[in-house]
Amino acid sequence: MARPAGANTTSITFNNVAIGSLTLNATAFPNSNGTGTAQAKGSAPVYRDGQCNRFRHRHHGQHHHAVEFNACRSDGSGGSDASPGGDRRDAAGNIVLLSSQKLQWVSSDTARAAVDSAGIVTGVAIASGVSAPQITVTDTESGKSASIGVTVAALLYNSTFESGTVDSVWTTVSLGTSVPLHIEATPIGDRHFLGQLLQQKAILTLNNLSAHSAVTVTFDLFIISTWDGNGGVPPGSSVWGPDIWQLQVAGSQTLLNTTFSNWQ
Amino acid sequence: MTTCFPKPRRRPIRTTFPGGVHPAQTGATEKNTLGYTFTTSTGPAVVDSVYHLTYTFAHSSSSLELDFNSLQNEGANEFWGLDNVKVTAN
Repeated sequence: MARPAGANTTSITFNNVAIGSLTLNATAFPNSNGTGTAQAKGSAPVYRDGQCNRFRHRHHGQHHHAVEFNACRSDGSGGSDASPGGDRRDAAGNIVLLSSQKLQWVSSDTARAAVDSAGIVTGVAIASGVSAPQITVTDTESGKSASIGVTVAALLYNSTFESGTVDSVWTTVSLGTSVPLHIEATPIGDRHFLGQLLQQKAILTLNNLSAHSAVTVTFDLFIISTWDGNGGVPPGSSVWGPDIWQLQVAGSQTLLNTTFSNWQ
Repeated sequence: MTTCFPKPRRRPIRTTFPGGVHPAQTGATEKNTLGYTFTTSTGPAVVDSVYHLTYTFAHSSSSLELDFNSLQNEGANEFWGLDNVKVTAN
């Protein structure tokens, strides 16, 4: 493009910019038709973020038809932050760029989840299902808006055992041959974990929980050495097994009752 | 490293005890990645597996006790452990 008469700057608009990392390159030529010896070159990296409202760009006048949320994080633990992501699209489904300053974020229940002007959601109190707060974003220029429900979960316990010490919430009961609870590191990867344990029960006790209706437990189970599944030869015999492992909610239910084998 | 008396190499199985039968290490997110070895009659072999497990259940009490129970047949060469334990409530 030609330099405008009597001015040192100009601009160009790129439509339908791909999401992701881009590099803008510019070369200045002395002649208005782009000929002659190049006088200067420049480049700049930019990033078009399609998930969250991070991209700063001048609104270039396209009319956007709808505001859509996509699957940026939609839930978070109490006290932690999350940001619902969203793309702005026109009637044809094309992504429309607009200024973040024109977006207004509102929570339907600030006692459970708050949202700031940048769309960052902070969990305040447990909420899910029908009590899940709605986070609504409105483009004040067009009046278009969209909402999404957020689940706020309370983090009751979280450990990678990288500290090298066993938390006081853990205890053990022997079911045969056992060892004291301890932390080891794996030979490969130096991953600290609770173990190695033997024929015993590792008990995780959490008290003084706030009101809730459901619990989710997630963990990695390491099965090490010569576990034999249901048994030896013939299968089901008690020569080498069965090697049973269980997860139970004390006084309530058994979540897992199975055998494991490492022999391929 | 874990070594013990040589066990004969064989092909036992895993099962949702006492339910359906599955091949060894079925469902494992990692197989033989931790570096634990065991010497069998055919020589040393890496034998470990990692299972990434998640369970959600109804619960409303102000206290919670989770029991991770190991009832394996042999007490000298069958080990286990836990990592990345996370508990949430809603």
